[in-house]
Order: sequence, then C-alpha cells, then structure tokens
Amino acid sequence: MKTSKRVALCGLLVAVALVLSLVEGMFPLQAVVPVPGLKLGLANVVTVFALTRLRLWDTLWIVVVRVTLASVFMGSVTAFLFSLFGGLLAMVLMRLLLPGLGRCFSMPGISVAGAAAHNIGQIVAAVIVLGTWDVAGYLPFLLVLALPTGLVTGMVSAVVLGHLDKLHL
Amino acid sequence: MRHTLAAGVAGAVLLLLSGCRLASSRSDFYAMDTFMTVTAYDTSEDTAEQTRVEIERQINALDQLMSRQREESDLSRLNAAGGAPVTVAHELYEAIETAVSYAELTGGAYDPTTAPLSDLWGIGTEDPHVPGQAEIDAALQKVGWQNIHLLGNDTIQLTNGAQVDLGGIGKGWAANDTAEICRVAGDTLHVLAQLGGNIYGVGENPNSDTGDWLIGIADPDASANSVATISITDESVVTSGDYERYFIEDGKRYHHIFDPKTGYPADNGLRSVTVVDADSAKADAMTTGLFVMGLEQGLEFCKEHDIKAVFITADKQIIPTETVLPQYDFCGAEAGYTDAR
Amino acid sequence: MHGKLRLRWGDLVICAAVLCLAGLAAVPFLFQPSGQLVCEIKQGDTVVKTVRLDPEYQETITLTSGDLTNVIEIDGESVRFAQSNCPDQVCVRTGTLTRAGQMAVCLPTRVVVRLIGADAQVDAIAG
Repeated sequence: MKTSKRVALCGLLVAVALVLSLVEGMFPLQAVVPVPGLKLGLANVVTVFALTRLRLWDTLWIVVVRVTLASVFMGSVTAFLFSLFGGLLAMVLMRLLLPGLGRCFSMPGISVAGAAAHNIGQIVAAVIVLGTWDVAGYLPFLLVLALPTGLVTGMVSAVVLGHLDKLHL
Repeated sequence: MRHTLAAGVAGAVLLLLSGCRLASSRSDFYAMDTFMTVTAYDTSEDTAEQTRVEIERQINALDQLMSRQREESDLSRLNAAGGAPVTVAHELYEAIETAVSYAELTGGAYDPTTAPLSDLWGIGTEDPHVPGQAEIDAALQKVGWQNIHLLGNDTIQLTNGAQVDLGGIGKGWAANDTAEICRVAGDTLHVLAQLGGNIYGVGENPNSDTGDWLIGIADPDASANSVATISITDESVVTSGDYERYFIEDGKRYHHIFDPKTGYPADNGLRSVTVVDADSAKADAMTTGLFVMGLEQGLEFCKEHDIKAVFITADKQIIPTETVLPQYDFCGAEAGYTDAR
Repeated sequence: MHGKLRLRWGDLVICAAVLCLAGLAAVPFLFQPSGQLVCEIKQGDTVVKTVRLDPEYQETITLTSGDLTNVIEIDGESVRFAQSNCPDQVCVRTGTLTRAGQMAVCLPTRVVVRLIGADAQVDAIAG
C-alpha cells in the first residue's frame, strides 16, 4: 500500500472511530446498567478493521490518536488513561487472535475477547491512577457485560468487513 | 423503515430507563455560625449540581444580610443605628417581620431581642460566666420584641436600645429559601438540607422505599445518637436543646436559650424541643418559644396552634404531641429514655 | 462474511475464559462483609482521611487548628472525638459514632467526622 494512501486511510479510520464514539454517547448504556466505564465499544470495529488491513504500528497510532481526540472532545485526563490502556490491551489481544479468524474463532468471539481485554486494561489503569482497589469491584460486572457488547460489535465488524472486502482499499 | 422504527423504540426505552438513575451532588460548608451539608439528587447531574451551588450561594447571601457578628451586614447597620429608623434589604425586613409575628404568637417566649442577654452571659465566647442580678436587670431593659417598630417600606426602628438577633429563625429562613429554590428548579429534584439543627427534606427521599426522609432526634447527652425518629417529605425538622451551647459554673448548667422574662437560661426541666413543620422558620422560632414555655404550657400551646412537637425532659421522658404521632417513632430505650406518649 | 460470523470452538473458549475471569475477579469482593463503614474526616474543605473501618482497626488522629487540638480516636468500627481543647466541647459530647449517617462536628476547628455506608439508620439527625 502506498504511503499516501495509508496515511489517508489512517486519518479516515480515526475520524470514523470518533464518530462511532459520539454516536455511542447518544445511547447511554450506563443508564440501563449503572456500571461506570461500561460502553458498547463500537470504536473497536475500527481497530479490528485496521488490524486486518494495516500494519500493527499503524493500528497502534490509530488507537492512540482516537483515544486522545475522544478525551479532548468529551472526556477527562483520567478517563483518557483508562481508555488508552484498555484500547491498547484490546488491540494486542485481538492481534494475537485474528490469525485464527474463520478457523478457530468467529468475529464476535474475537470482539468479546477484545472487549474483555479493554475492560481489564481500563480497570488496571484505574487501580494504578486512583491508587485504590475499590474500582476493581466493577470488573466482574464489566467482564460479564463484555459478552453481549462484544457480540454486538463483533457482528457489526463481520458485516462491515464483509462489505469492505468487495471494495479494494 | 422497520429498522428506523425499531431503533426509535430502542432509543425511547433507553431514555426512559435513564430516568431511573439519579445523580447526586453534596457539599459541606460553614455559614450562620454552624456546619451545613446539602445533598441534591436529580435525573440530571447538572441540575443537581447547579441547585446545590445556588442553595449554598443563597445561604451565604442570607448570612451576609442577617448576621449580627458581621459588622458590614444590614442587620448590624440596623443594630448600630442607635434608635434611628433604618431602611434595610427587603428580605431582612420580611425576616424581622416574621420574627416579630412569632414573638407575638408565643407571647414573647420566642423573642428576637434577647441578644443583650447572651452577650452579657458570654455564651459562645471564651469567657462565659453568671452575671450579677443588677447587670441582668440592666440587660433586660433592652429586651422586648415590642421595641422593634416595623414602619413599612422596609424601614425599621429599634427603641430602648433593642438589638435584633435572627439566630432563632435565620437557619429556618435559609431552609425555606432552600425549599423554594428547589421548587423553582423543577419537580425532579430531591434535596436534603441539614443546616445545623434545621433539617429540610425536599421532595421524596430517593434512597428510601417509602419516599420519606428519616430524621433522627438527637440524644441530648450524646447527640450522634437518635432517641426518636420523624419521617418527612417536604417538611422541616428543627431541634433546639440546652446541650448545643452551654457552660457549667458551680455544677450548674447554663445554656443559650434565654427566658426573656427572667434574663436567665430557661430552666424548666426540658432538654430539647423538636418541631416539625413545612415552614422551617416557624419551626425554628417555635422550638425556642416552646423551650422557654416549658413542657406543660408548651404542650397546651401546641394543641391550641396545631403544632407538631416532641419534648425531651431532663428525667429522660420523650413526649410527642398527638399530631406528630403518625410520623413519629421511638428508639431511645437503649439510651435510657422512656416513651411517654 | 458468513464465515466470519459462524461460531467456532474457540469462541466458546473465549466466552468461558471471560466468565472465569469475571468469577475470579468477584472472589475478593464476595468475602467482604456487607454494610462496610467508611469514616471520613474533613478539616475545612479538605478530606484529611478516609478509612474503611474493620474490627481490628485502631488509629488516633490529632488535628490542630491554631491553638486548638482535636484528638480523634478510631477504635474498630467506632469513631469519636476523644479529646478537644475547644471551648464548647460539642464535638466530644456528640459521643461515639457507630452507624452510617452519623456525624460529629467541631465548629471551632472546622473538623467534621462522619460515617458513610449503605445501611444508615436515619438520613440526618436534628440536634
């Protein structure tokens, strides 16, 4: 892939991820299940796509820039650290699982793993930043909820990737 | 089309569900010579926060206006006028007018002009002491709500050296303002305001199944513990007791609630009086008035004026009026109190 | 597309692993007694200390403000102003706090001690 095309695609993906985060903000999942840190994680779709099409290094930057911008737009500094930790851990785990896509794992399965990794990452960051184990109490809830949210974003990813296969990006 | 509809329904459900969870905002602050804590709950975090801030701002503004200790307050200006008519802020005028009406209602048992007495006795200062009878008689000359002349147009004149102190209704006035701010801010608000001994529960209690706020009446000997409880919604509970400010000289307890007739702290076997009313300023004034009247006359007064009150006596009896019973619960057995309903 | 959606054996492994982790993460919290009390000590606007109380816990905290000194004693699941040289002694006479919702205040030093927890007996105390 040519450098210019790659850079353009990275920028596009960051933008899409940001829009997805915004759209997600319109559906306050935390209002239904009041667990701090809970969200659908639609931006994960972008990470999955980037992992399949771009180099790991590019994906890493997409995650970092996306998280940074999302915090600038709507979050706080501490929330930024939580998301960054979560986003990166999710990325690494999905990178390890993706080679097995279609053989050992389905897209929803990989997404569930990614969602769970995201939760673990954000809670670890919270424990370190806040200096208290209290926040770890949310982890069991977040992990159980990673199953449905990961399933949903995984299905979205599968559909999106399916459609994009027809385009030759 | 079907998908749009489904998404719309899902969105609506989410919005409805989000109504179930309340955000809260709490603050602790010092005003009117006491510790205050206000907790506001609302479906919107912003509304809870803004209301809480607005309440704190209003109470501080009232304190600036009504404080006798602050030299720059409107009240201090009135007290320092040396008998000349003074035009004061409208809200201060209203508060003094209200105080005078309660003084009249209680036959002077509550009196907003007892400040010369508490000054003389040094209550709340480094050096409280029992003054001589001549000094007390001299101070009594200045005491009497009849010395407050409400001239209209927010103008007041104090005669015979009278000094106004709104300590007896100030916190109640602030609690009423708090409730008013909440009513204006919207009906999704729930607020618990604890302004010293004045408590106001606005709206329903979001943390309780019944929706009532459960307010304890302090044990006069260990005020962290409650000896009875009162359930309220949109009402105020106010307690005044001899244990809040006092000193002991020669083994005798001298407290801050003065009998305007004798010039001595009311000494009639009462430890505390609690009044429950939607009007917290009234409740505030009534606790003082009833405390000065004593148990027997106080109970009679409550019956006559339909006041909900709970009396605690020095011999550890707790006497609620009949009108307060539906909201009342006794829990003082452990602390050695007797339920004397 | 359908290849990516069809469930594989590995998906079950992932789901099982996530649920196991959730269970493991819940273990330390299951053994914690419910109705935990937290003691918050504030001086002015600053929170000086927040402690989770348990029967073994003991601490004496001394706070000063000008010439005034408060000695606050945490003894297991109860807290009190053990000593104060403030003139009114209201803080000391407030007694021992043992339940959520209880509070003791020393006005001269602006120190507030309160117990926070789920099972408060009353919402506030008038006195």
